Amino acid sequence: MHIKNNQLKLLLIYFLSLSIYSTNANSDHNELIDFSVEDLLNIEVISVSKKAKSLNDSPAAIFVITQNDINRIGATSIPEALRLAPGLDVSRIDANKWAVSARGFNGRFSNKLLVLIDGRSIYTRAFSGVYWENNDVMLEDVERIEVIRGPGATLWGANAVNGVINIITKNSADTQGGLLIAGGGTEEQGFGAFRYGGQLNIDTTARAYIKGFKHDESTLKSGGEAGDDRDKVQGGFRLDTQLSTKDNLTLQGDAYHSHINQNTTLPLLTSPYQSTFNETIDSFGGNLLGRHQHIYSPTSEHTLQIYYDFYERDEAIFKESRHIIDIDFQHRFSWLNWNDLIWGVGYRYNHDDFSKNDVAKANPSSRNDQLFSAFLQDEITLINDSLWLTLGAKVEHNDYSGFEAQPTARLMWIPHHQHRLWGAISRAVRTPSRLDHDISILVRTIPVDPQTTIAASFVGLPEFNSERVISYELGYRTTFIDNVSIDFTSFYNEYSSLMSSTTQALIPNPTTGFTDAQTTINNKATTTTYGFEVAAVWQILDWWRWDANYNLLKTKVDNKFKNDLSPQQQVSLRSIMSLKQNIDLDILFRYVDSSTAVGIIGTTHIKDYVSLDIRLAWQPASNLELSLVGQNLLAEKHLEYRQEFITSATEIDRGMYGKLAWSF
Amino acid sequence: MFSSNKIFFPILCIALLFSTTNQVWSQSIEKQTVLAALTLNIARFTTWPELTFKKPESTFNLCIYGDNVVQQSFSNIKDKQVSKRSIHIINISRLRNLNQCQVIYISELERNKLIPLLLDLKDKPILTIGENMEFLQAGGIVGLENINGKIQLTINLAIIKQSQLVISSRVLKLATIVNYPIPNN
Repeated sequence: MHIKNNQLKLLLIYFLSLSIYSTNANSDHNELIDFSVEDLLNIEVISVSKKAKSLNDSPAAIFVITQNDINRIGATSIPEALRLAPGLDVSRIDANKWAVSARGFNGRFSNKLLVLIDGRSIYTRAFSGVYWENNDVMLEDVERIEVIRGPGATLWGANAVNGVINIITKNSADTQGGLLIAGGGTEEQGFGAFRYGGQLNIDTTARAYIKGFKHDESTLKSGGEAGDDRDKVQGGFRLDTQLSTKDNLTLQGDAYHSHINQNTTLPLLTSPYQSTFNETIDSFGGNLLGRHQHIYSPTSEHTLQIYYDFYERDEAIFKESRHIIDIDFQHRFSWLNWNDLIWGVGYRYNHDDFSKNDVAKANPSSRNDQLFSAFLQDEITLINDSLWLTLGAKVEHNDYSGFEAQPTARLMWIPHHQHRLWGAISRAVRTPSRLDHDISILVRTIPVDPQTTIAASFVGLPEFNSERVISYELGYRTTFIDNVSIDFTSFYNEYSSLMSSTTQALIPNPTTGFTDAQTTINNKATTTTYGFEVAAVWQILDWWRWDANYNLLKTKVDNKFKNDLSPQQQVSLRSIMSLKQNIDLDILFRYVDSSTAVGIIGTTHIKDYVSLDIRLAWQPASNLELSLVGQNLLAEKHLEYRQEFITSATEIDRGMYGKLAWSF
Repeated sequence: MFSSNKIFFPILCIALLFSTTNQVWSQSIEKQTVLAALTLNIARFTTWPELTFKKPESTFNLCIYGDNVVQQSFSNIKDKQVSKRSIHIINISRLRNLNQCQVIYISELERNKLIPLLLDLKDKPILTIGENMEFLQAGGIVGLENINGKIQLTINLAIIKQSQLVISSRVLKLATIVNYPIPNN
């Protein structure tokens, strides 16, 4: 960067004057105590964002994205909001697909990150991962998104190997009245949403919403339109009722229908042996969830949650449908005044159906799976208000890998209210998916000579076992400087029985007439990753905040481990300004290091990139907001990731949109 | 890459332009600091039943439920006295051992937990202080709500009567009086 000397001086003087100025505001606090009640009630008070000062009390690498953050970054989808969290690798594959992971192992089928929306898992057994394009919420009704890096298996369950994302929507009591959203632009061609919340009786509130959007196609790396545009309509509701002073009931549900376009390349069994065509994936689904909470006392409560979830996707390679029923019970209580215990049991039933075609086959094509789980966690107070030890374990039985145990031990030390120190050792597993066990995919057909055609396929292994990690974490949080908070986490992860593959010898197949070249998977890979993540917040002035994140990820690569290499370093810098009380200017700058994406067709090198998003918002009235958002402004297009299979490398275009939000 | 000047300079200019117009904001005092001072002052004008303090040297226990920002604001008053007793600040992060408290200050607590908590405390001589009307409707005693940049004091007389506490008329006359009984069923 070429900032000239005098500009640098100017910047320095400006920042210095601001910091001196902002400390002044805090000097006269002690005198306040001698004021009378009357005087205190007449003082003009300000409540600046607490973000720069508050420290989280969890013995885990947690980062919270608030509703305000989501709105002020101009996010139009959940993954875009996740870009605010440190240590997450959020890569856009094309206009409709995302690859999201924490601490490495990214991919479209990234399988080590568990994601929940209001307690409902959106991690699918089909391939162990998340169909980000299927799952959405009314973003304005999100209360917060908790991003937990590192194993969270004890509380949340299997597959929370490298992290858990908890999307929590607001209670319907907090979304009363109407909200109308409308907007459009170059990439986000058009979007709209309408929500209305009302009070049904003195104890019951509810809301319903409907939203829809149309997203433009991106650009192929090789040039030309990528044919990956999509549209979606989604609706839903939430009802919260207070059955008694100690009983709460929540009912909620969503349904969606989406058309996802993609430019698909699949092998053919006859000449020309490969076909590329535009297809429209028909994708729809829905869910219904009920949760009853009974509170015995401030330290004791139980929750019973039941949900049903289904989705269907019809695409050329597969037609898949899946139905899930899940029942969870949790009980929390305090014991002997120095233990906070939480235990629970869970049951999940999965029913799926896969279509068969020349390219992909699931054997059996339909499967019913059950998952039983039980967990116990105890937070032991070792020193009152300063030292806590948390011990816990989850045991579960699934139909793919049998019994799995996932224990954790965590220590939290608060030596002073401005400092937090924590450490953890945990074991977690990624349980096998349908893809791992039962699915074979024809990858390529290669004519060698008129008599011989090689059929290269990827074949699942019914004996494929869980992938495992032992994770060591150490974290420190502080606000020792006024209006600055720093959250630092380091980790060391040892993975074993990771997926690797071997290619079998060529075998002529008399039934098909092809020569089979099968790649089968096994559990032979191991690796180690380590690194650290820093999240800093500086409230420079009442109306101006800076957030800065940095993470370093090192992955040991040897002949035992060949996998996607996630970006080693990521930097994000965010400036949050309220220029006037009704004008906001927000800027997000990101640097993402180079990475590689390993696909069935080969390895794609992804160059490092920088991106800049800017949002300017104006509130002409307290219930009306107009905003203008520019995304990926620094380049006309750039590549963030390449899907493993089916589609070509697709670059993300620069985009602009305008938005109106009117509440009434 | 991109030219840094193109981005930095406009931001700096905009910032300089607006920093002057916004300075008036900082003449005021951070809300949490005022709330801690108010809590201390209201406690000084409150009388607890005689048997509340078991020993002459017993401390005055001010319990706080809130994050480190709230805790820090109360650390400023830890050397002060109430009813000639020195203040002992206790963080009740796990909401346990509440009977030791003379004052419970609750910064933010979900409504479904607040109601049973306040129900447990309704007949006890504990001054409960919260930050909004919802706190009073759930059965709290004192509400300190930030309304357009000033703290408004509201006192729930219905609960005060049950608690055997006496709040001085000097404070009552500055407060908005409400009568929200403990939610039943």
